[in-house]
Formats: sequence, C-alpha cells, structure tokens
Amino acid sequence: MTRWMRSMHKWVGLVLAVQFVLWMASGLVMSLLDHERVEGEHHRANHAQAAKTWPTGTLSPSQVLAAARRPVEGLETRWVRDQPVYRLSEGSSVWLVRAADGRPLRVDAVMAAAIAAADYVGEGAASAPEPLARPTSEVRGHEGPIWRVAFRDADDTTLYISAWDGRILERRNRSWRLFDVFWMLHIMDYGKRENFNNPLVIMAASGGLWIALSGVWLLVTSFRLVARKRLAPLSSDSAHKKTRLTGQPGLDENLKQND
Amino acid sequence: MKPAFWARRVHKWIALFIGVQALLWMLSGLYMTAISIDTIHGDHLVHRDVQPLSTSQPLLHPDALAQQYPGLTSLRLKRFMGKQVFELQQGNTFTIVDARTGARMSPLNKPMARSLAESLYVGNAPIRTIELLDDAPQEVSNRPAPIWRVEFADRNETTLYLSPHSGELLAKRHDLWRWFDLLWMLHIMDYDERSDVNNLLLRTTSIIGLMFALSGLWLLVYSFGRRRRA
Repeated sequence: MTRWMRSMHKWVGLVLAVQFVLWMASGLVMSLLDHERVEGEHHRANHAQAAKTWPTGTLSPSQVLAAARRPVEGLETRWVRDQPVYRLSEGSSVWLVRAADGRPLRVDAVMAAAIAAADYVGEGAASAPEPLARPTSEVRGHEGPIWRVAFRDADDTTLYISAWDGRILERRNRSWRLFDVFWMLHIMDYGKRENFNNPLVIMAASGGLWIALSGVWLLVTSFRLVARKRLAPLSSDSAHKKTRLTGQPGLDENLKQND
Repeated sequence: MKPAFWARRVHKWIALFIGVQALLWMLSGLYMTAISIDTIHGDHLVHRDVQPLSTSQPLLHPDALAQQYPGLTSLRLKRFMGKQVFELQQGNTFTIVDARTGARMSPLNKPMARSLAESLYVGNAPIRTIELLDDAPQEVSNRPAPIWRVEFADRNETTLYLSPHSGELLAKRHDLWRWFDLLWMLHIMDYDERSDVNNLLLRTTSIIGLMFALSGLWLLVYSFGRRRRA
C-alpha cells in the first residue's frame, strides 16, 4: 500500500510539480502585495464629506420617465461633479439625464478629466482622457464606453471612468498589474484571468488534493518506520531496564500495540 | 545518492511542519474551484424578474417629498412588493414611501418582512424563523444593522437578510456559501475577519510552502533520475 502510495505521489507529482511551485509562489506574492495598494486606495481621495441636499425645482421622476424613449428599470438621483442628475438604467446599460432640464448628460473628455482629478491624490500629472473602443483586460467585466486617464506617478496609476455615468470603474496600478499576473497563474485562467471555476484548475486541484492526502499517508508511515528503527535497539536494553525499575509499560510495548 | 537523501529529508521535515495546512489549501482550493461562484453567491435562490418602471400613474415630486423628509439627499424609484416606491435617503437614514401617495412603508414590520422574503425566495420550503437583529451576525458582518433575518426550512438552510429601512435584500446565505466562507478562512489563514490576505501567518506559511514545493521538485529529479540509471 505504502509502495503504491509513494509511486502515485511521485507520478502525480511529476505532472503537477511546476503548478505546485506556481501556486505557492503566486500565493506568496499575492500575500506580500499590500491589498490597499493593489486596490489603488493609497491614491484615492477621501470623499467622506456629507452628502449634498437634493435641490428643489428639479424635474420630477415622472417627467423624466415620460420623456425616456426606452423602457427604464431603475431611476435614481446622483451628482456628477456639481450637477444633479437622474441616472436611468435598463439591464446593464445606464445613462444620465440632467435634473434641471431633462437633457442627456454626456461624460465627455473634459468631464472625465475633472472626475479623475477629483478622485486622485498624489504627485502624478494626468494624461488627457483616452476613449477605449472596447474594454481592455484592466476593465474586464465592465460594459459600455470608457475613458482611460493615466497618471505619471511611481505606481503608474490609471483610472477608468464610465462614459455612460461618470463612475470610477477601476483604479489600477503596478501593484495590481503584478497581482493580476500571479492571480492568473494561481487560478490557471490564462485568457480572461477571472474564471476560477475552469476545468483545468479543477483537475489540477483534484490532483493536488491527491498529492496532499497521499503525502499525509507517506508522512505518517515514514515517521512511524523511523521511530521503530531508532527505538528498537533502545527497547532491548535501557528502556527495558527502566520499565522493570518503574513498573511502567515501556515504549517498546506501546510500539508493539501499534504494529 | 547524497543529494537525494537530503531532498527527501527536507521535503519530509517541511511536510511535518505544514503538511496539515498544505492539505487544507488543496481541499479548500478544490472546493472553491469545483463549485460555481454563482451558486455560492446564491443567485439561484431568489427571483430576479425586473420589470420596467411604469409611467401610467403620476408620482410625487421630489420637492413634496423634501418637505416631509427634510435634508433629503437622494432618492431612488423602484418596485417593492408590487408597488412603485421611492427609497429616500437623508444622510445615512433610509425610508421607503409609496411613490404615488407618499405613505410611509418602512421600517418593515414582521408580516412585511415575511411576505417580502416569501416573494423573493425561489424554493417552496416554509419559513423556519424570522427575527429582527440589532447586530449583524458574522456571516453578514459588513451589512448595516438592524437587519431582518429570514431562515427557510430547506436542506441548504437558506437565509435571506433584509433591510428594514430600505426593504433591500442585503444578503443571501446558504450552506454552500457557509462552507466556502469557512474554507476561504482556512485558505488565507485569517481566522478572525476572514478577509486579510496580508497577514503574517499566511506570508510565513507561504514561504515554507514554496520551499516545500521546490524540495518536491528537487526530489522528483532524483527519484526519476535514479530509476533511469538502474
């Protein structure tokens, strides 16, 4: 049994060896990288100020809904910079309507630059907002047109702003990019780096569990063998004498019970 | 022969130190990868039929609401138990009112919480307990309290958490989620908050784990190499 275990431990180990090193190395790196930095919190302005009171004399939700040319599933008030707006949504798409006159509010490059500047703290100068034709891997999972604003700081901070509603979608930086590579290696999703339920990682994890279980088996048997070998000579003389002296059962007898 | 002896020895002694954690990493890793994260999130436990907002009936103007709820900071129009309601926010205070009449509907009382939970729940098991908690329990520790906890008598021990003020479904919990959470805790070795991946214990154990993997790789070279020579 132990022989077979050893052999299987070795052969599955051969298949998974590199992944084991990658799991441990990537786990270590992700643990070492400060999570606050990975999330870009250290370059984020603190907006804990009290929420502004909604102004009087705006259009009513009824008027806004009546003017919408498509079904609306969600409606809520928002502030974009200093403008009160209604944020409307249907499915995953969202759009803004100015609360003052009901006209659509477009998040243009000027506004995106202002939103990015207000969110950022640090020494880096901002680039001009650049429109993304399609989401890159740094903004995977988001839909719609996006503005990208890069800051020239030591962390290569990059903010992504939704052109639909002016929300900051992501705060990326060097720590995140490094984290993301190791995350990819850890979850073995080499394409989109987001699906940790992929068949490859499930198979590797099953193999990993087998290695761990057979390893525990081997560990127990191997230390038991060592203990037996080392204690065997002892039992014949000194330990045996002690047993006789104290009347306590000796180590050798305990071992025999285990055999 | 000698390096092989050392490789085996190092591998074995490291195993003695972190063998159990290595086993837990593999076990938790397999669980977390094998069960779809959407299942863990419990998306399948509640109805998600979104209907467009209706324009057929006139809704209250924000100015009228602001008179009744001074310091109104935001409002949201939504569907709530078959009605259109405004979710009002005054700073950190949430209230829901009938969007047509302005009648106040929150805080939710027990019958309301019950029927809201029943309307959300997909299964057909009855409600086992329903309780308003002043402190959010560990499994929803980052949600605001007070909070309604509605437990269903199904096999998966589904629990829905509802806000008495906004009427929102704040969290869905079930046994698969609870196992995931426990195993995640064991995976990242943060036994208090279950969220700090930067803790010293994990960092230290990861370093030993890396040596463990490398020693295994080292051992492989000898254990297959020797066989070929023989």
